[in-house]
Amino acid sequence: MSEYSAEVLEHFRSPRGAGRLPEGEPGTIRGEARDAEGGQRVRLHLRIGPRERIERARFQAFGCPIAIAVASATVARLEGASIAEALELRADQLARELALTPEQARLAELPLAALRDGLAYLRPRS
Amino acid sequence: MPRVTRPIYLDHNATTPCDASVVAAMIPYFTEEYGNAASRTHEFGWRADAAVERARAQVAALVAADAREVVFTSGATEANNLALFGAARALRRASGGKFGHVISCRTEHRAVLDPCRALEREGFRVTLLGVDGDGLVDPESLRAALAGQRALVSIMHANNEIGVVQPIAALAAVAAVAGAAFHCDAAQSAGALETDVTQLGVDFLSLSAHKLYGPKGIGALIVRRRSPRARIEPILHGGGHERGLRSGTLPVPLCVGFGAAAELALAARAADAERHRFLRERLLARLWAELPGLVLNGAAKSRLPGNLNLSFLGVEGEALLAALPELALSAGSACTSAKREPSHVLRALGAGEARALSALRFGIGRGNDEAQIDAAAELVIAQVRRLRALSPVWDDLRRADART
Repeated sequence: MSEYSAEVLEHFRSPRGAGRLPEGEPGTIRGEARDAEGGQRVRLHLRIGPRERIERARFQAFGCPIAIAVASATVARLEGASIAEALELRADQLARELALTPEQARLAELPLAALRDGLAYLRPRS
Repeated sequence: MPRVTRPIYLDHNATTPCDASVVAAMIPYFTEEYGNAASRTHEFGWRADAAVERARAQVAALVAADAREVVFTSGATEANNLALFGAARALRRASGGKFGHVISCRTEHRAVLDPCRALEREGFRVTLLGVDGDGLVDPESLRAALAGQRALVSIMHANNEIGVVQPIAALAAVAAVAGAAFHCDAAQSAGALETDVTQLGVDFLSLSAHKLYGPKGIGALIVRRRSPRARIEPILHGGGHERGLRSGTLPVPLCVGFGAAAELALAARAADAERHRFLRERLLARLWAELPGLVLNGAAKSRLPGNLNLSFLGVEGEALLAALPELALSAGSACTSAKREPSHVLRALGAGEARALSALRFGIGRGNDEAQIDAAAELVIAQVRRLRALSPVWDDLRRADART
């Protein structure tokens, strides 16, 4: 177990906002990213409300505990944030929050890539 | 949920605990009987030598070999290296450089594949045979690879990850027709299945003590005396121990422990096999009844009695392991922090990345009982369900199923 920090295990055991949002509802978007090296996948479901605020955020993740923890930590930060704020979220912040080792830190990019994938559908408007 | 203080050990393919009676047999050889088995001039040496020879006979009996055919090594890895380098070089030398072909298989342990790669760098031609979806090598593919020519063939008896038992007798017969030497890594099987060197028809056989409730740090290579194909050169030089094939002072306590464990294994093998098979089928039945999306990796029948390798589709093996601190298991991927490489064995079966990454190996052994198996099944079922509930892969699979 020494492979994973206490912070990773906390999110892994009690993930925040795991699941999906009902599809097809107005303002609901979905973004996904896959780590080419390890096969981990993170999918984010976001409901964007008025003033480009993220009203609800959910994640699905396949992969090691780190992939699940970074997705969980991302979702915890996204709910209530504006899209501009969400796009400011950086991988090194997540890595620090979850006490990832340098080799593990790569996976913190995964939920952010999923976020950008989802928001790409909205960006032209904003 | 049952309370568990120490994890339930279900990793007997990795190693086994050293039996208490084996430890007891070894102890005097650390303290009172500390002689060097090669000392010919006093009683300490004679007694150590007698203990080693007794152990040699016990190890030989486990695989129905002659005691003079046992070469003690530091373990199966060294035995494999001795067989591969020793026999490949002997073959090339004896044929005046004409023959230099080594044939093995894609699902072998690294302790065979890595020496094969090193032999390739020495100029040997290496062919790795494929396996079918069950993990079995087809003797016809060996026949084709040999093309009637002398070579060195190395095929394992039972696979360490998926437990698949190869048709060694049929494969060795094909090799013998071509005059090829046959090596077999029996580290996983000797304590679990009847392993008779004559019936198998092999020229070299690798053994490991710690896989059969003996100590770590000792194994053996069986080198058949009567086979004209069992030609071998040493890879370690210095002292000429073990009839010149493996120099180095014998670790007498470890030899004694290996011998005691081998004797115990020979007596317990049939009953152990029956019990481990029963526990494995119980575990499989529980999991199968409660969880959809399971794939059994490797042949169902031709398999080590205590081995179960399952892919839990939609769940990553490393995550499942981390979710199960109550169980000592291993995954189907060699994971180094965030990078992972799907098991070469599972890939050789034709498993895609998703199946290979979602595999767990259960290795049932002497210490396990029904209560442990039931507890393990309950924990696995709960954690697979929990992780699938947040898995996009499982979500997609389920939706695809719902559409069909």
